[in-house]
Amino acid sequence: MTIMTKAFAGRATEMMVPRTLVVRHLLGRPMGAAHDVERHTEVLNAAFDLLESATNAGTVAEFPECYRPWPQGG
Amino acid sequence: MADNTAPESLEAFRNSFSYGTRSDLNFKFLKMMSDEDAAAFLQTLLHQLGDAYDTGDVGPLIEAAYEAQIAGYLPSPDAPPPKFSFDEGPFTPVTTAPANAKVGMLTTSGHFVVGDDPEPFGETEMTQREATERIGEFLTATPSLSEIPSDTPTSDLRVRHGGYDIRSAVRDPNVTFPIDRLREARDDGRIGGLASTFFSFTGATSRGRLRGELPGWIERIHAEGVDVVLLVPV
Repeated sequence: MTIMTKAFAGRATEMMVPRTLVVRHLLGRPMGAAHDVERHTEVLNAAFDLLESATNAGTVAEFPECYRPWPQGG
Repeated sequence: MADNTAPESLEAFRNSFSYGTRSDLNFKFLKMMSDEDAAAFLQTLLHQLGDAYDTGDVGPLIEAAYEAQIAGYLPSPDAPPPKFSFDEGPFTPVTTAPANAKVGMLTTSGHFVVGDDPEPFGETEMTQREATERIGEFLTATPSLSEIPSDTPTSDLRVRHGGYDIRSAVRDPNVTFPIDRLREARDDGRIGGLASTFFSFTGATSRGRLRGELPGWIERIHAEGVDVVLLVPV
């Protein structure tokens, strides 16, 4: 079960990674912004959902939300 | 004698962000863009910044950077075929629901526990800046796998990686190594349990040497008795 930022998503497809959740997040921040617990949890839950729903290698799902900065900063 | 007064070309300016005089790991992709695309990106960025002066909304600014990252890392049309491209891949059907599964984690984020520095090239207390300056050595070296007990306090985690901007991961390790989120998922019953040890290494490394290390690493992960491994490449 892999969580990968969109900029590198093509590599997951090429390599036929079993299950990849692609996130629309900035490089170096795959789970979301620092301290954005809600977003991190949403991403992790989406990955667990994908774990159960995928039926073949090379399954790629996209987390629908865009990156957001954590309003209170780091 | 070199002419030091010659104006800097846009190409040289772009390249300077990729481990050059203006090294910035968030914007090293500028090197891979054409002059035209880089100029358009910078113009958009400055325009959005001007809007943010009034609106305080940095969302469009971030979106512009995000879109440029994606464009910057797209393979160029004349790039050779990818070395690691396959028509089929391994797949293990899930037989244990997440709520009952024991979960492990492997990341390429470069995390380690304070007091257990992998000490690349024998260097003690290598800084992030030094790691960035020595990226060429990392890319040809044998990677080292750090063991991180899953009950490690986040305050005891350290991160170093010459390939990406670690500032966010320093502020909150969960950005690239979601250890707190996995513990919360366990405590909430979303998953059944956690491996006693998680793993991390510096992903900027020799692929060939990594292949040599993988069988041993897989054995170590298997020894954790996990049903699922969360992989977080950075």
